[in-house]
Amino acid sequence: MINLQPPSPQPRVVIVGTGPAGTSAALALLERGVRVHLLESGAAFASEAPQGSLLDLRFTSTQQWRWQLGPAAPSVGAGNVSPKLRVPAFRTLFDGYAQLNQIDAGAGFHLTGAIAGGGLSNAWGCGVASFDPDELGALADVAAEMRQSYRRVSQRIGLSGASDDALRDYFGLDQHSAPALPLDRLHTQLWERRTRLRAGLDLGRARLAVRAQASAGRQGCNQCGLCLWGCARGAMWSAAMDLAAICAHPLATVEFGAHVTELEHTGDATLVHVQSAHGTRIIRAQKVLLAAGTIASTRLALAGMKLVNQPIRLQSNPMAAFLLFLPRQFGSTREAASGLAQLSFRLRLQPGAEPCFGNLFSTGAVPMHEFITRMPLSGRAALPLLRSLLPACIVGNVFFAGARSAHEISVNAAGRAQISSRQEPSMREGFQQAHAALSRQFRRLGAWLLPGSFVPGAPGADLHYASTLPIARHPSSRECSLAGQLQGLPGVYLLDGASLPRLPAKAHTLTIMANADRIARGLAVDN
Amino acid sequence: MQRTRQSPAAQGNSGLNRLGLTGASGYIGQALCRLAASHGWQVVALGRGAVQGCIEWRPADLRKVPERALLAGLDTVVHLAANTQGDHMGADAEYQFAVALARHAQAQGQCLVYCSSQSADKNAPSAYGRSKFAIETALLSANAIVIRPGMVLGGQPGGLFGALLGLVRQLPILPDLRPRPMLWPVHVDSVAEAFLSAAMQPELGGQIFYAAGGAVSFKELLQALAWRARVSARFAPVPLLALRLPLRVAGRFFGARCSAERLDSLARLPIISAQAQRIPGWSPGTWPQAVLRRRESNRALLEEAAHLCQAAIGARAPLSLLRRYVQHLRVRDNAHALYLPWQLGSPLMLASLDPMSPTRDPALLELRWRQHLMWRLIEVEPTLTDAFLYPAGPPQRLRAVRDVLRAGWRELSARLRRPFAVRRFRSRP
Repeated sequence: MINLQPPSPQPRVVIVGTGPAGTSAALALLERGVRVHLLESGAAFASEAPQGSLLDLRFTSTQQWRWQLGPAAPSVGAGNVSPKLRVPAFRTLFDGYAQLNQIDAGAGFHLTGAIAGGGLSNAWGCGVASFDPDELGALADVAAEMRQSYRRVSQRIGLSGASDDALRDYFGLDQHSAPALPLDRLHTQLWERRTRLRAGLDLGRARLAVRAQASAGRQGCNQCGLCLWGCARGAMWSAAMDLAAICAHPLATVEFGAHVTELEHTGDATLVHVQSAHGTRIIRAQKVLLAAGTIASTRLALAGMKLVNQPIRLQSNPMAAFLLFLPRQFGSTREAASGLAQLSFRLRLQPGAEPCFGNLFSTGAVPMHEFITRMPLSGRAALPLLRSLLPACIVGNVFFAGARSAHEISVNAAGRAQISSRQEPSMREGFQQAHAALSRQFRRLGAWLLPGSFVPGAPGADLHYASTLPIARHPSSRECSLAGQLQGLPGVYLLDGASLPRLPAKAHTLTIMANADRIARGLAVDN
Repeated sequence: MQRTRQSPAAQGNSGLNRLGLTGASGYIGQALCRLAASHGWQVVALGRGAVQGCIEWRPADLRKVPERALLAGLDTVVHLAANTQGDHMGADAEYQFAVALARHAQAQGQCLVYCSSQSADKNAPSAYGRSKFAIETALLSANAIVIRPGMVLGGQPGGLFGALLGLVRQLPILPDLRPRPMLWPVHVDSVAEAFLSAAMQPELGGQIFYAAGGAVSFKELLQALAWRARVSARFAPVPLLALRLPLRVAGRFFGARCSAERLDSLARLPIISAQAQRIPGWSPGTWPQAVLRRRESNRALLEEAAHLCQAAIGARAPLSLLRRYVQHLRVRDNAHALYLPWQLGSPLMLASLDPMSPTRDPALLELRWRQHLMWRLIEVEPTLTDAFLYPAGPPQRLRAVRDVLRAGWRELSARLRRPFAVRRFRSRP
């Protein structure tokens, strides 16, 4: 095989994927003068986010249909998935993911992934948290480096939400965060009564990757409420922002439309098979960093290791959504409010068990038809009811720890990934317990959990896929070393959620980024 | 579609498959001629004159027994011609013609397809029906294929269809005959397809097939025709019995065209059950799409959109919203109207259907999908936003309480109306 790559002064590191993990690693390597070559399957994601304020636009704009509905037939129908997946601007992000990455999801598993520069962070909820030593699992051995990485990443992307509350240590990020964004009237009521909660539920301000103040070309959040459809102000962080900086860096090469189909290990290098508009080619690399998203990375890894038809465990966070009604606020009108989480909570169902984590949002964040089509009332009755109730309602979601999910992923002889999901019987009980506990606790704050509104999401619809090939202290061939190297495939490092040792209920993106940053710094030192 | 013989166009051989057609200048005949020619058949008209689309004309007359040479060189014969005079002499001659035709076809190994009628029955009230039955029996024993079309509509108005269309345009009040006679409408192009399909499957000989869709009431048919003609349809219930005497009197004066016999045969039309035999591989168009041309189909969709919008929020939709609805349906490639406005009556009926009950009915699922689409379209319409959101201002408990009560009242009346709404929706043919 002739090597047609131009000679480079230093060996290059190939990074597959430009999501949060890929860009964090790339930036860490570039800082230390290491050349990087990023391969991204999709194109640079062009955000068509609407501008203005949601309430103003709702009453006046005749162009609303463009960003709420889109020109093509909208994906209509009440599947139990996040409304985010129905936003027309994200269609280019999500369409064709399973097909391109050769993944077959079983009927019980809802698969979604992103194909674009910036990955899933183009459409995320901006929730951030750091893991404590228990949650870090094997990564607790390198806790000091993780802490340093958390600091670096947090300062780079800009966090807000710092507040002296019961969840301060749970999040563990306040030392890097700007103060919390203001709450709207409904959330203020809950917030002011939080002392009435009994043990089991702790309420705190949401910690978000959202800038409160303008800085470095990004504007601060002004609570315009258009979050679901994309942030035109740049207040919400997305990896596409870092990607733009990387593209401008002299030591970095970013290739869009380059899809990695296979990884092959030879004696001294890894061969990366790349498919692009120009055809297929092979890149030889000494070090390959896999950051294509847990499922795509796992498929590449398993296929590269030739682990055919051997299922491994895939974790995700089972989740449910619910609606709270605050009778005191009944009759009020909708006010301008952020569409992202305003308050978060930690729910302990049993002492000693892993806690659940959840968020509360303003109902303005979600289009009304999502409610209308889920109510067991005829539409003409649902509309006046919702018009009167929703301004006094809060939407909530709750996540369970990944250990309670039961999914498996394997690769078949043709290199296609198969995901299957089992119904965990204990999960139904878990949902019931969560329902009852949340009902009880929120009633103390003056909020009623509306009957029939507690809806478990479809398995996999949370998009928090992780821990397939976790980092371990003494890794087997299906695990990664502390330095992130995949034991079964030398030269390949796993940066994204696939290598997280554990998946607790809290937001895990920041931890993935910190881990990627740590691994990259370790590599740069080796270089 | 399993075809035992490929159509000539598919065979790629010219001059091979020739179709003989009697009654080629008639209502069904013209449609069949067009269809066959477009599929590569060479149509030979057997009758009183040449017809557009046929390559050859051979003279034939229903009153004279045909000779064997009439069918020379043909592969299939379709016998559509019928005696329209209603006189006994003609009926006899018609019978002789058909029997001779069948004999010649059988002798020369040609497939014969005969167009009978839904009213064909041994004890049919009309002479027409009885004569058709007699011919059928004779032809079946000669191994011909017999097709009984339902009520043929669409295309150029002709026959009973044309007569009803004229009626609808001229009468200010239409009769809602009681008890309601049921009809089985089918589009003339579908009927032509059935005949052509049968002509290619000679092994079906000796059997009776139906070319008809589902059952539609007479009133519904008149409503559809009135809608198509853009006239408003007003009905007055008229018992069938009351019409018999005036029609009998009129029959004396005006001849067989308005006779009590026809009314009788309408009222006593034999039922075509859903299990009745149809040509294998053929399916009728669905009602009412079967009689809508593209222009009307667009109109039907716009009316459906307006109806859905009215059902959803009780307000008129701007035209841009209606157009966008149609556009979304066309993009999805499933753009036919699910129903026409009179079929469901008031939009409140539509609003009363249960949005959540589990169902496998594809029509109901499609309706729900469209209702969801309508909600999304309404939500992005700035002029209709005040149905969703209160205008900014201080909280007003009273307004909210009024809305809750309004919702309760609407839900209650929807539930009361629900069984009727479901029945109406299901009884769409």
